[in-house]
Amino acid sequence: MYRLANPTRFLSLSSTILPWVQGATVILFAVGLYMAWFVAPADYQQGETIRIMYLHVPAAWLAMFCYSVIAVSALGTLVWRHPLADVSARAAAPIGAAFTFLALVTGSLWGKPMWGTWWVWDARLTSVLILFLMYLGLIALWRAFDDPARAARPTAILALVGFVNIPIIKFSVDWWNTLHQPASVFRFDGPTIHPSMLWPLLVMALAFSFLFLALHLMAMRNEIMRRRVRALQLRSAQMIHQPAE
Amino acid sequence: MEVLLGPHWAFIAASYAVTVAVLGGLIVWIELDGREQRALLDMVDPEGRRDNPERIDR
Repeated sequence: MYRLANPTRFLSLSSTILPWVQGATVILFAVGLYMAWFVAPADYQQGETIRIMYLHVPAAWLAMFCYSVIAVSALGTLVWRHPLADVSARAAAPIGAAFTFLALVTGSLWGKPMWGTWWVWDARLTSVLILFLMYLGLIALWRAFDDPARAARPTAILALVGFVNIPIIKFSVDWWNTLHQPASVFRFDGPTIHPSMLWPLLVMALAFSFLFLALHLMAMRNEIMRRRVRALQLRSAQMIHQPAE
Repeated sequence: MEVLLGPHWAFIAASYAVTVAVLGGLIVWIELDGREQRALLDMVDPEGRRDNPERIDR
């Protein structure tokens, strides 16, 4: 793992695996969407609106997973001072914000016909909205510093503080009385969804996960290059302004 | 559309449209950012890749 701490080695390795990850993402989306639309039946209560589940649930899972990646990366920055940890966190933030936004919008589009409302301030919906605001806050804090090295520590601390929201999101439907339904896949007593809907959902979740992996690798490569450009520009500026001896 | 997807077809279509737009936008944004950074790196360090082919791979 520590060998990957070298950004050059990371660039080399990621360029090898990226085409495979991108290919797997396309295949998984093709299979997942086929299963979601042509294999999975309509729900006996919700009818065809159940098709929204195949987008909403993976987006919500990835929203939380992405923040967990940021939190682990923040630990890497603060504890181990891993050279790629801050790069990883910074690259993951916009992707996580996009997945969270999707979870909120598709949830709202699913909620209106099923619940009769676009939005309620229940614990699950509110905690996911807070997650979205956390992502925006992290992105804003990173952008507030010119020097990424100076931004790394405060953003890592903020990311770790914000991680308390992840178990709140997960267990909000158990701890409080919410309009949002309780967990039906990751339960101690096993999933309560019929396999004809569970399998398409899991394939779509895998497709979203591979998409995240591909985008994260691409964004990390961009961030490494951005920092090299900045370092080289600073070095040239110093050489220009150095007094002649 | 209503025959196929029922009375709430617009909500289903909107969900898929928003997902395609957001994820498509994200992919395009990251790809364009990568191209911009590679171009900038070529500009500030034109010989970097020649000195060390592993330095910035494509």
